[in-house]
Amino acid sequence: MKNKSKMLGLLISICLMLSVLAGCGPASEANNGQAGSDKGKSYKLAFFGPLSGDAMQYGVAIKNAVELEIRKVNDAGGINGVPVELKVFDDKNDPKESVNIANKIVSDPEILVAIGSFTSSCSLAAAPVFQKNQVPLFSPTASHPDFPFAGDYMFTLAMTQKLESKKFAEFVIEQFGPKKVATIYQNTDYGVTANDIFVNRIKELGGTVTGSEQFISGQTKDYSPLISNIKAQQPDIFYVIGSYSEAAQIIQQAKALDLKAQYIGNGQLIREDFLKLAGANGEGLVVMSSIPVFLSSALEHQKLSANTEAFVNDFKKAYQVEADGFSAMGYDSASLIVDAIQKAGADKKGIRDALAQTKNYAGVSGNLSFMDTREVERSLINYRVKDGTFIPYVRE
Amino acid sequence: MFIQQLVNGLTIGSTYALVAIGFTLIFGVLELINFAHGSFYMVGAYFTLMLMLAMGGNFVLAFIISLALTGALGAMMDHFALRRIRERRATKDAALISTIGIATVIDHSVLEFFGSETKSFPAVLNLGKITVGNTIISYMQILIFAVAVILMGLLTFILYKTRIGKAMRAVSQNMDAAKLMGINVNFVISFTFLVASVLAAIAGTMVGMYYQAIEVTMGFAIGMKSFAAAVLGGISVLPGAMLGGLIIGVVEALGASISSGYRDAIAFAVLIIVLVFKPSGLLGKKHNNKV
Amino acid sequence: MAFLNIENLTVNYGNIKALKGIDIEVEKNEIVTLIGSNGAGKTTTMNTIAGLKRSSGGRIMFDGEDITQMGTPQIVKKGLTLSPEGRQVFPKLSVFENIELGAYTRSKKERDEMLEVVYDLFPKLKERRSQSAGTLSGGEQQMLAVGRALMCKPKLLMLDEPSLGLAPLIVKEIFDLIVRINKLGTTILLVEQNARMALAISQRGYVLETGKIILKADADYLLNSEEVKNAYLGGV
Repeated sequence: MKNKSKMLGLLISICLMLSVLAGCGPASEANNGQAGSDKGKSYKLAFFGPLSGDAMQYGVAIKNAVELEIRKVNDAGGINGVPVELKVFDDKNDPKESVNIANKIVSDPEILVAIGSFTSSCSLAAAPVFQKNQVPLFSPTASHPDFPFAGDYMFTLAMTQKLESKKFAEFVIEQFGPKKVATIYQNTDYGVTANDIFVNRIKELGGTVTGSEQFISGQTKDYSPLISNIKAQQPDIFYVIGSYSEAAQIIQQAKALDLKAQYIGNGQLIREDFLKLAGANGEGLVVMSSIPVFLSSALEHQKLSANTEAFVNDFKKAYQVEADGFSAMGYDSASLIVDAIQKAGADKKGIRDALAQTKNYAGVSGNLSFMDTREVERSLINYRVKDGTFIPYVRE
Repeated sequence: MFIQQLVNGLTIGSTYALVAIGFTLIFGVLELINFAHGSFYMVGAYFTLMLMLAMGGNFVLAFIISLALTGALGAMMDHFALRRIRERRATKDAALISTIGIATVIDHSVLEFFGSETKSFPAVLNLGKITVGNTIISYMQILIFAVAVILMGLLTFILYKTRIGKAMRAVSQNMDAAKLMGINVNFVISFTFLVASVLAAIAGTMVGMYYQAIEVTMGFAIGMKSFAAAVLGGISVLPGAMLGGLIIGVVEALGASISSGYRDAIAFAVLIIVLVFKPSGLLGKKHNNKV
Repeated sequence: MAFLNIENLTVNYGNIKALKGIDIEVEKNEIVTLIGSNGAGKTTTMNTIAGLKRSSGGRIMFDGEDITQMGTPQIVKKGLTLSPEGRQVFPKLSVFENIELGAYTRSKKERDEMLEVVYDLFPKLKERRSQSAGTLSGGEQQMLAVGRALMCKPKLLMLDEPSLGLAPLIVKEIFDLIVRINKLGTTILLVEQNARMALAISQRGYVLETGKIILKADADYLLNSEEVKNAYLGGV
């Protein structure tokens, strides 16, 4: 008995000490901030995204690109001589965590702009916090149509699905004619919206949708019952809406079940990992994308602008992996924000206005203009998988 | 199309059965729900893949070493973590929580070491498939089913016809009396964990081979369903694991073909309905008493 | 030194002192009985000697060896075993499988040899050998527990309350069997609530009360002592 209560007392004391020490952290940072009004000392930005968990490859890639741009700016002396500071947060692809982080960010008045998150769910969850506190939130990749409408402080560099999925459907009808289309899609905000808009546009343009099967992400990796359903409908075209590992599984299982159709996918699949996972099953896949691809294999067939080529090389040198479309968008997000700060200084509203007026910016992810709705309009860049690599799409 | 869905379901079910067999063994012998079972399943698959890559594609050797490693890991888990809890005659909950802790440690270690991306598993056995009418059956599917049946038979043989198997059954019924027979109960229990972990590793490797992909979360994902399968079949009865697995697999496949969003819900609903009418599971015995 | 020698044995359950330093001796080929009321510590004594419970002090010597710190499987291999309180058969195994397990530490030859002996002593067990042990009557389970314990050819057999819950006729049968086993060369240490019958077949006895030995004497003396009669033998 005596021993037990001694242990308990010791344990509680240790816990208290640790929590005091933990509390010391941010407090000392705040002290540094207040000491001698350092608005002139640095421009503070925040980044949040999935740096752990199942989406971490994407989050890390974007974070690396953002840091690449900021390093470049600081190496050149900063913005008008003032360095840029980036605070990084991990939201684990969990919308609840994104909200926590959003609250943390807005409670530091010196953070001018937040870059984040990766998924639509997380960005949508965090949006109200930023809008309410009038801190610009810039997502490099959130494509849900509702996101820009969460408020005039919201910006996204991704073409929203309303536009993107519509353009995908238009591409399909244009290239293959008004055929029978079947889809399989993830039951996330992204997947459901992408599917609905795609399917509706196909029907508007005279195609037939034989069926749409929904799957729950992470629930299972056996899609055979869904695939058998689709096979029975005998579609001409089979569109897979999911992450690259899900799509690789689906396509592999569909080929094993002899589902004969034209397989199509979207930009999420444009990575080496997908080619590795899909193997020979990926042959002939057509991929529609609104963001560019920098895989060295694909680059051989593409011509890049000077600053894009510089970005691709710098990224490879700094991180030893190839940049992908998402990192390009991260990079552009950072550069657009840097430009805005250059024009408006440490003024959140000023920065917001400067961003909203961006027209014909030559970013590494394409030519960017913000519409009145702060959505970005882009054209599609499409590919086909041939001999185990992505080549620019050409009608066969 | 129905037959194809049936085949799909039997395959899914066989993968559940493979995992459920090892799970049922531990519950049967120790009345312990081993939350770490899914982690051993996953670790076995990772060991096989990594060893295979390190040894230039030699699958058989990699597989055997992986089984040895995973089995050893399971025995060590018992020896270092669970034995103390047993000796202090702590409640069953303490052991259960301990297995949760170990599962967490293993899962996160693998995550740290290998990353969260799905890893592709090379197609080791290119067995091809046969087409019967409108239905396609791959030989790999048949193999998985066969392996599940064989493992179940093997385990039953061990339990009923070998000396250590009888010791395992004695330990499961009365640990103190077993000691009085001169049985080294700690050894028998560690051995049980070794066998269960080897079974898990076989299951993990086979599933990895079939879907040609493995990821860190695979144990967690299949854990719930296999647990349900074991319970459905009668949680301490070995053939129950097989039967439960197949039924859940088939129900899931048929459910998914009707409504993919509800596929899990339908499978679990069947489990609940069966348990309402037969709480001890389909093949479970009514009494689980000890003298 | 005695065949089984227990010196100053103390056993605690947490803060509760169950045995407060007891001394017991059993010579070869004797039948010795330990009597006492409920809660006196009789089962604790048996379980501690058998290694199922760890002692907190004192020494246990068996056949010249110190077995105080040994685990049960080792103790059983040395030839000391226990037929526990409440029988503790393996309910889902058959009678035969139960008996077979008793010979777990022995060779197949020894097992077959002892099987003959046990079936000879307990013909009812032979009759019911394929029946599952959980379905036997109380008396049959007691015989099974004893028969099972015999299978490892113990030099010393301890029996904890073999008469508990059994009809008087069956109890007599059990005690007759214990005498027969003893005559075959097995030393017996018996714990019983039914003191009269137990002492009747024993050479010596000990009286245990709240963890202490309060009386140690020849069985006859104990059977006839007024004190013992009133306290444990239920009067005349």
